[in-house]
Amino acid sequence: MSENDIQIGKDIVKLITKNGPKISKLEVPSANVFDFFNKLSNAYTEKQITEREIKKIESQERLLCLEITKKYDFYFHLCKHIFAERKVAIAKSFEIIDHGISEKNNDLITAGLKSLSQIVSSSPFANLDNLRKLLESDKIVDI
Amino acid sequence: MGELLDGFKNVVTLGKHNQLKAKLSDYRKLRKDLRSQIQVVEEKRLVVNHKLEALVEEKKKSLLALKKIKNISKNLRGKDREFTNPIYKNQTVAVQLSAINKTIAIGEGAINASKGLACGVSTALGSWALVSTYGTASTGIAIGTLSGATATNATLAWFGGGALSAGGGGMAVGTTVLGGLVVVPAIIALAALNYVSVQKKIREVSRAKLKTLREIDNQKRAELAVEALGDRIDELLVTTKKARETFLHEYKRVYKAVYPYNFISKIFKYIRSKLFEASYFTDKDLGHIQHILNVASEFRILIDQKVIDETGRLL
Repeated sequence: MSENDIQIGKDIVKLITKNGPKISKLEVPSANVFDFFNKLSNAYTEKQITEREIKKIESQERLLCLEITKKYDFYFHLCKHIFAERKVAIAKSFEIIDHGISEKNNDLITAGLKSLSQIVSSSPFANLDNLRKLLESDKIVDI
Repeated sequence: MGELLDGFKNVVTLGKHNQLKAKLSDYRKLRKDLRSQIQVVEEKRLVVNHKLEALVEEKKKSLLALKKIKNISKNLRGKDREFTNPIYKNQTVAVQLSAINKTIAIGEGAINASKGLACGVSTALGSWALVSTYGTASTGIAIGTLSGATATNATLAWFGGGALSAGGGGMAVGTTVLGGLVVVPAIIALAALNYVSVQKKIREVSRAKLKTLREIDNQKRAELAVEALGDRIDELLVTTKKARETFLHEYKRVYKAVYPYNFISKIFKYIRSKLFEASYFTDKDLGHIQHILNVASEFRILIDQKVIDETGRLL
């Protein structure tokens, strides 16, 4: 046994001595045996309760983790899809307007602008919100 | 020494010490994830802020362009205004003009209120350009509540300002969540030499982990809302610009058709209307004017389009 090991051993003993009162409460039986068992049983009950609480928190944690990864992947994808779809419709309206301008066709220009304002004034998030409500309601949707 | 001490603690705590260490390591990793997520939201917020400023600027330009309609409409008489638009079946010219004038008046009010100020999103001009004040159906997707702000002004301030103006936003919430636990491992791991005590610490760390996860969830939601808002602004920016260009193009065309010799044409029309009590505009002119009013009506809708409601929710 080296001197270093002896020093470590001394440190540990010091540590135990420092925390002595706490440990002795549990480990050293007092004169009253009933009191000792009472303390042991309290510690056991406390352990059970804490263990249950930890399990509950951990299951909430797992659920939330799963929800975070799945939910947001889905919403980000959906959002991109919605805006991509609207972009196509907007490009079509631009085409109509440009065609109307080059042909000097007033009706085409007005029609193009009208369809443009209709697309833009419809909220892209309305469907997203309906979908969110539907998903959160746990309803079964018939397809 | 460290390993020996750990081994000793494990013996005393019946293996719970290692569990606590693992939990703390998980927690630190989660805390790092939260910091990265906050950083992502902050970066996207800055991008959206620039987009919002560009949209406010575009709307200002559009409003000034729309005002040109007054150069033509000011000479329309009562009779001309009652002419019913064939495309906008239930609307007379008067109705169209009234809606256009309303857009101009509200926009001019906001521009005057912000005179001398930059086109920031948190100015009166920003509010006019971005916030709906007439009860448009909200989608329920809130940006304000996600960023810690509760109303539109706070939302705009969040976009317009730096992280310090977050009003208790993600960064601040994150710090609160994490603050108390930095000292947990050192003090607790050394002090907790019995099973129940360490188990309680494990419970505390688990709670902190759950809290951090909830904060990550909030930050993810904020990221989604900010990104969606960014896409929406891109859409409005492109379409409003196109509508402005179209309007200006058609305005020039109509103006040239109505006043082919500019000032001389105006004098001629004036004399004709005064001397012969004829209409200032000919039927052909009215046809052209009708067209530019139709274009202006659609252009106005785009200018009036807002992105958030009074409660800071996406529209």
